[in-house]
Amino acid sequence: MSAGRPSPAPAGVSRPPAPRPARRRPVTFLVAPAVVLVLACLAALALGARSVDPSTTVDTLAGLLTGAGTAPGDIDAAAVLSRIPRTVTAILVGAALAVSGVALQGATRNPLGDPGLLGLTAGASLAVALGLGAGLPSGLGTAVVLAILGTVLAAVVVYAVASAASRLGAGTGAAPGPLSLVLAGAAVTAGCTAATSALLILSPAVLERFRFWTVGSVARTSLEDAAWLAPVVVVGILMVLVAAPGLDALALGDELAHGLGSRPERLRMTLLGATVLLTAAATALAGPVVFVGLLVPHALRRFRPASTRVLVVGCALWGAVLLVTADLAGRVVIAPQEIHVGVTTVLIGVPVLLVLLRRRAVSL
Amino acid sequence: MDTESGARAVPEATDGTTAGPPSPGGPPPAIRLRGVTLGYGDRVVVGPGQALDLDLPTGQTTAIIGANGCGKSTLLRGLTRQLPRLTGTLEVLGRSAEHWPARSYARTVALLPQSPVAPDGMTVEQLVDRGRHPHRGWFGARTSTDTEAIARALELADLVELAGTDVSELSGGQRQRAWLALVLAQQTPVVLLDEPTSYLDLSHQVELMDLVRSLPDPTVAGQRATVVAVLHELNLASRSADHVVAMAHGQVVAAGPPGQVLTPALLEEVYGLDADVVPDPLLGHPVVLPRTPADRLGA
Amino acid sequence: MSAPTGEATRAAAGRPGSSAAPDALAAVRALQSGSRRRLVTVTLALAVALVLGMGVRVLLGGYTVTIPDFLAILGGETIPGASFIVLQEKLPRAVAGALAGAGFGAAGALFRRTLRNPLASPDILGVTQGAAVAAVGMLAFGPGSGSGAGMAVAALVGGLAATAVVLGFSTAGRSGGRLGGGTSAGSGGLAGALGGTTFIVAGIAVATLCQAVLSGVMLSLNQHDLQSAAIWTAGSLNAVTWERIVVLAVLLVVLLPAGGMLHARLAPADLGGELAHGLGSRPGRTGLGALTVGALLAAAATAATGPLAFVALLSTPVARGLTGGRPSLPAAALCGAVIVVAADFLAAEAFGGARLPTGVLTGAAGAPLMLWLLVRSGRRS
Repeated sequence: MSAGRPSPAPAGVSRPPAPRPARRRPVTFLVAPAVVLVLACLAALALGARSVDPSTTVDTLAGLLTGAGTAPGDIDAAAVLSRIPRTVTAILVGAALAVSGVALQGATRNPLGDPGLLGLTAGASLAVALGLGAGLPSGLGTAVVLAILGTVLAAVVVYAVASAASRLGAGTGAAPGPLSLVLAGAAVTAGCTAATSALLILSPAVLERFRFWTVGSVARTSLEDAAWLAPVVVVGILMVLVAAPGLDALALGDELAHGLGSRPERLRMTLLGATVLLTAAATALAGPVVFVGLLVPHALRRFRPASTRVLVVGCALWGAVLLVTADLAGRVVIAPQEIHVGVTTVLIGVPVLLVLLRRRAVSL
Repeated sequence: MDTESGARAVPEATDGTTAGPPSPGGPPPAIRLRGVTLGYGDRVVVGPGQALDLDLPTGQTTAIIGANGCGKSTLLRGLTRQLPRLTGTLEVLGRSAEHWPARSYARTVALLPQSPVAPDGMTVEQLVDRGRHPHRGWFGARTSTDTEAIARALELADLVELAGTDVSELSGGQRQRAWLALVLAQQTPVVLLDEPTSYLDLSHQVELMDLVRSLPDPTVAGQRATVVAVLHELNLASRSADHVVAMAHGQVVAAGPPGQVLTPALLEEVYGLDADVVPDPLLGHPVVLPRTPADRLGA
Repeated sequence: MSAPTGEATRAAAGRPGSSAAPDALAAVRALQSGSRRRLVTVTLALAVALVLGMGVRVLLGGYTVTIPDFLAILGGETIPGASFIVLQEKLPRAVAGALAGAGFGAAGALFRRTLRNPLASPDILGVTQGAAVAAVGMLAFGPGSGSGAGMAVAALVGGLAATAVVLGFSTAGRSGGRLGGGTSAGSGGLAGALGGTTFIVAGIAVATLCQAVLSGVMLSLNQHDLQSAAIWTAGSLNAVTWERIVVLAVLLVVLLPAGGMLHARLAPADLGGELAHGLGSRPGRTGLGALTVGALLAAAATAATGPLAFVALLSTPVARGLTGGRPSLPAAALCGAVIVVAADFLAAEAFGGARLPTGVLTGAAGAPLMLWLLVRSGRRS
């Protein structure tokens, strides 16, 4: 082509795109959700089958913090106190799942990375059921260990199958394609669910203890158990925070990432390890809760966080908000009956996913 | 029996560059476009500004060339009626394309799209058999005519020995011949090809285009089929085509024999390409030799 | 002048001889009759296998019945003990299993051919889950309880609604969008959406949604209903009655031939939207019809037996493997029937005293098979 004259633009070419909007300042990302979280928690403590007015709620909380205790026979205070474990659990589970979504999406280069969609949650549930069937003690510690085992196994199977199934023509280090991952995840979920059902039917003892696990709910954990698992969740989130800056490079493909100075394999292992920890902890606490890991990162990415670290923290906070609000809504909408969070997150998550798909905001 | 329907009054081409073949003595053109614009939604891809008039000659091989995005493939989709025309009329073999039932049209005009994908587990014969769909009735029964057409198509494409082979086991060149055989089994007087030689080695490209060029018209004895091929490679077009249509920005810039169309001036206009054009020493068709300013300085 | 067909007008320009050489003709004829023969053989073999399977189901197992006794019972004679078990339990389960399996198999074949993806089947894309949630909803909140026709209608509506939602959310707003994977490029709109990956992801999303709602609804059932609902939603032939069988049979009589015709008409669509259009077919419309009939078939089967996981998914690859790659709705339907009857037999007899729901067996066995199919689909390309 002659360098002097520019070639004529082909028909249908548009003007160069407008410059992207500047990235939001971190403060917006961190302060806003923190405030919303506090408000949501207060609402969750106050509202419910028996609603308590805000001042009483605050008084009860203050009394708790200062160790002054509450007057016995104070029904409102008792109501508030009874909601504390589930609110704390909701915070932990929401933060854990949202951050695990970020990690999974980064590690697999798959916009549909969600531990529930990819079969990890089902694997964890099956492992717990198997353990109970084998007669292991049904404490939280056992549950967590079993959940971790189940998550790891499911992750290995899904990743291996999806890698083998994807077209590896994209060069070395190509992550398994998103469609293959989702399909493998669906297969693993169905298989694990079937196996779990079989177990429940064959062994009445397991059915007794496990029946409530078929739907995710934050109502089943005590405050001690939640406190016990809190460090696990924190460790998981920290792992992702540490690995966060490498996520952008990882998205370019292993070769390029290597060229840019990252260590993609180590990064991926860290991220997947964090995913396993976080998913197992969340499942041990609340049973199967899905779609949080998909929803929250996608929603937040549209607001263009300044860095991936900010995205991670934002996800943790907004994930907590989501779960607390979902639990609150489930308690209030058809009071006195309750819709468990396992159902609410799906009720919210699937329409959002469908809209994302329709707008092709999720590239496959 | 020309039926022109529904066209707005469009001025005939007056500058002479978009008219069809100049010879009034030959057979009427196989495809006639008058006042045509094509596009998606409100974006006009073919014929922005001035609607398109084009004649494509019967019994000859026409190559459509042009830069990426100039509208070649869109034009082809307009010819298959997959993309409805926004304005203008289309006549094929003297009959208007309006209200022509789909199957009947498919017995007249066949299309081989770019990069077709064969489903798994098909043999060559099963693939070619699909080309008989327009000739079959509601229940899809196979007749002896079908068998003969398939056999003939396999023969023309030189795939008889490979007829029982799985399509996925063929080489690139063989596979493209298999797709061509499917189109041949359709037995149409007009064959449209969208970049049939992409992803083929040079030797296979030449082989395929020579085969295309020699295709018989199944309806008129002793005549070749009317072939319209969108081609990327200029020299292949020059070698294989009797008639070349050059497009840019959705308009036809020139139409005629290769020697008339492939000139340095036109290449500059259509592609922004600086090139010398010399006659092929053996075959006589024009050969395009691109030049950069550095080349020119060095000479 | 249009292009007349027929031997008289087929004259080759520039080639000696006016028709195809004899060996080319002979080769084509041999191939065609070979594949036709194989298809017929496979279909017959499957039918025989089905009859045998049903025989095993009815006559053998923990409680055996001799053939003369069986024929006597059918003839109207009452043999204490055996009559009840045969007429109220084994025979209905065998018949329902065969019918439901045929429905699932046919639905799977229709979905697979329309969506051009071996893993796209109604039990993954939310159709059976939609039908199940509608049926359970009818059971929990509807008038009467568990009437065959009522639940069947609810299931049909639920399955269709799920398919409509998935379709609605996967047709791109504007045509000409890029669809991932190896689908035919450039054909936007309905035909393009049907061949794309968005459809599958949307289907999985809808399936998850229905499953979650189902779990939620089930928790609100009383203890007695919960027990039977739990087993039904795992996919079980426990609750079949002759009434439900009749409803299913009537639906199949209508839907199977329609499905067969649509399946055959989808043949050009196998080659992608553009080529199908060039061959004179309208793949979008035919595909829509095929999906509708497929959804109705799957929903009807679900109404009788609950969602039997993976039957629809696996029938088609098994059938195609047997026929040498040739898509055939009858073969897929028969495969589905055989699979369900066999799984039902195993589920009832192979686990000692416990009788597992059939769906648990198909789910547990089907998952590794689906994973294997996934791996295989990658190797091929």
